[in-house]
Amino acid sequence: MTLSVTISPQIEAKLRKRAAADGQPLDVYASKVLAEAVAAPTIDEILAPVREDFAKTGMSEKDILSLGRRELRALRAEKKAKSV
Amino acid sequence: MSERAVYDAMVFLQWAALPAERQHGTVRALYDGAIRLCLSPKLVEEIRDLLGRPNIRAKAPNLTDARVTSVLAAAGKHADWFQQVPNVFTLENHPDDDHLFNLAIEARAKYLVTWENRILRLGKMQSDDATRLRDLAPSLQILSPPSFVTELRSQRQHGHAAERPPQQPTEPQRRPGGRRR
Repeated sequence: MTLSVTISPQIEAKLRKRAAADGQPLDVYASKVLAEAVAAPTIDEILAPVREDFAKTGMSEKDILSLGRRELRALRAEKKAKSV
Repeated sequence: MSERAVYDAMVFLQWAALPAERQHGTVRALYDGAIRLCLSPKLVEEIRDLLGRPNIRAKAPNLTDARVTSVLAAAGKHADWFQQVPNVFTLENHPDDDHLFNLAIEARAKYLVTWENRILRLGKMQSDDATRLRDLAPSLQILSPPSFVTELRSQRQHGHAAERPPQQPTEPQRRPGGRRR
């Protein structure tokens, strides 16, 4: 498909510079950049299965944060003990 | 230029564990370009260690090392990396949090986002420690994740970003094997 988007002069300048450095026409380079951005999973996508795991436990948000605080305290105590 | 923010390890646990419906404003702030995250070797190690704790992994079998690495890589695209963080500030009674304060100071971060009540209280106290921190990081705001998201929303609504004087943040350092940001 063909997509028409408005970009700022600053972004245009950067895009032109990078396309030139890459030896690509501007539209080909822009398409490549867009493809790379969409291909990389987002943090939410990466963590979706983990969030489902936690949801299945039935833990409340308060419980989860309490668990995290306990574990962080324990982790730091263990590291301190190792370093002594 | 986006302001810099330090998120403590608990914020990363929050990303992993709290439901998607929460909309995770601290994640959105990265993708919106509202802030640049600040990362250091010590903070990344703590995030990995916390998310690798057996008691946490037991709750979420899908929380694997590979997934943690992917999350850090994704976050890293919106982050400035500080390889060397000088120890200029310490909380004598609780030095465990020093790496967060020192990263915020070195990065000249505007926000330190934390679930730790002890750190949150420090932002509002008049103690010697609080005064020393304010001297080293005069513009640092210490906020819980919900308060941070509210603050960003308020700034967007009132256009504060346009009114802020330009800052000259310290230059981020090259991450081994990574791109200079």
